[in-house]
Amino acid sequence: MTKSLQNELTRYVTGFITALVLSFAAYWLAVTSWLGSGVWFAFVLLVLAGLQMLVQVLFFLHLRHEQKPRWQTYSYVFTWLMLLVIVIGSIWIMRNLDYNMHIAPEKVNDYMLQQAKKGF
Amino acid sequence: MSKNITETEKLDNTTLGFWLYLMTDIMIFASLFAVYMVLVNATAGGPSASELYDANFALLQTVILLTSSFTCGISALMLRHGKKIASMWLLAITAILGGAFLALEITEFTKLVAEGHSWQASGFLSAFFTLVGTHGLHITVGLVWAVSLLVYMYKTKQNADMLRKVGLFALFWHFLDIVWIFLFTIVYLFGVAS
Repeated sequence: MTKSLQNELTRYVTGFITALVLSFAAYWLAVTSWLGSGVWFAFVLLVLAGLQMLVQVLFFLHLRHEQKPRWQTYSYVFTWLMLLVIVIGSIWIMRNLDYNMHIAPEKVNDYMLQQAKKGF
Repeated sequence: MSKNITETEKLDNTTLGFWLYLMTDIMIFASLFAVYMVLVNATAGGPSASELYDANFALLQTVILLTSSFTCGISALMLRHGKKIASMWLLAITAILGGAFLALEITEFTKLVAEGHSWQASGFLSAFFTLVGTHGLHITVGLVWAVSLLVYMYKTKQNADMLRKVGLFALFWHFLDIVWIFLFTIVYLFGVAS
């Protein structure tokens, strides 16, 4: 077995074990509800998922060994930016709508009539 | 020599093109994740996430998919070092593990539908089936891809083209595992704990 093959194999095994440990840690936190199920729990679990994503990107997808110009890295970071805008933006907008439109179904008709009288 | 240069250039362009496709695929999953997170409490009087999910089952799926992602990476690595037979064995293991993952997912889906919790039951379940089902569809396509790659590798001598093909499949498969991390966390673990 050549030296470089061994090095690369070691890298894959390291990534694999780290990812496994992170998965089991997240699972353990969820099952034992050691952190409850509030904001802290969500935060820690998202951090664990983010870490595992990073581990896999670095150890399996080899983004850190990309040569310049680093198009893959740039597009990846940009995609994450867009992803966060879509996900956080959607949740934000929909929560706001949910909060501001709290009308019981049977009252929607009255509300619409009232709006119609005011003129849109 | 000049032929060599064009060949490496072509190789990079193809990989970059495929990479950009994966980035757009991330956006599909991002939208579906957003939908799921918005609708997760819209259960329409039906069961909520914590009543439906089984954390152990999801953990088993996670371990299987992670292992297949690992063997897939090693498969591409072996091919890069000229070990075609080892590469084919690892690719076959990847496909088998992928099949096992898919079988587990189908089991979960049929169980949910049989219990009356299909995608028609509530907004939450529609979002759940769409999100997880889209991932499962990608896995299915990956399985077809892996099997056809194996046939191709069996019939062909090792060449630069084969290296690129296996490399692209490895990218796709690693990508699916990364998406699964977030499915596991946001859908299953959040659901179990809620």
